[in-house]
Amino acid sequence: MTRDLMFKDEIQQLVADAYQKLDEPDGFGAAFYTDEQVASLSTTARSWMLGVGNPLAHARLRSGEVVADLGCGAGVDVLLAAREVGPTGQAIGVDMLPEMIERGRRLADEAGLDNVGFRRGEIEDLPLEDASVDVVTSNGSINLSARKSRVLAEAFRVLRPGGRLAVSDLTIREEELPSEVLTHPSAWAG
Amino acid sequence: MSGALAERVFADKVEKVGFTDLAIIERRPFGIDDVARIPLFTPDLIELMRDLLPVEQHDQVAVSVTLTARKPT
Repeated sequence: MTRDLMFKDEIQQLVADAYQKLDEPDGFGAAFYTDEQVASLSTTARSWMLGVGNPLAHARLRSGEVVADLGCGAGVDVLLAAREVGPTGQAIGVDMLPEMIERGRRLADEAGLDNVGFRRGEIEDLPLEDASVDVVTSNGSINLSARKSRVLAEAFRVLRPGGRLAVSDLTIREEELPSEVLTHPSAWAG
Repeated sequence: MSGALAERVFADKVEKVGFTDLAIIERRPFGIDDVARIPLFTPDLIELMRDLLPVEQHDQVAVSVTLTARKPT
């Protein structure tokens, strides 16, 4: 099936289907992180490093800050952020997939982190209060949304004045990719 | 990847919602071999890319951009 998918629900379903099929990913995204960050994670957590960059390396997190990671998947960046902000801070992961939320909670429990929270929700409609977060991060998730401006507006809403955004995401030059590739269902899921 | 934007378009959207001090910190090219390691992309999509894209483009089918910005005080 190749279609020029335009509808939010269809794209969300493709993403959900793709993530639900994941069993033991190879953690290809670990290459983007520092040795110290990787070493702080369990072997299982490392396998879920599926981001496309390392936004935390540029987020300048400080002790006591509240961080929200949009489209957190299994929550690897949430765990790393939780260590950086320390026990007086908090790291919150938001993802639409209950499987990913559950996996993130398990990884946080295994890591013994109690300053971590996971909330099921859409990144276009964040389950977070206005001006309640110091830093918003996202790693490879915004490109999966059909409503990117809405996602960014939500990030703006939940940040406190002076709050920071740190995002890694894929960009393309559409004219360089053939339509057969761009309309392939799998190309919408990653 | 199909939903990805051009870097300038993405950056414009960030600024349009109100963020300031936008900085593009890092760019990492993703070639077909890199994309193939992302488990969300199926083998037939990877094969399609190898078949349809000119060889000189195989090393860069997308670019991962890391950006930072700030909500004004």
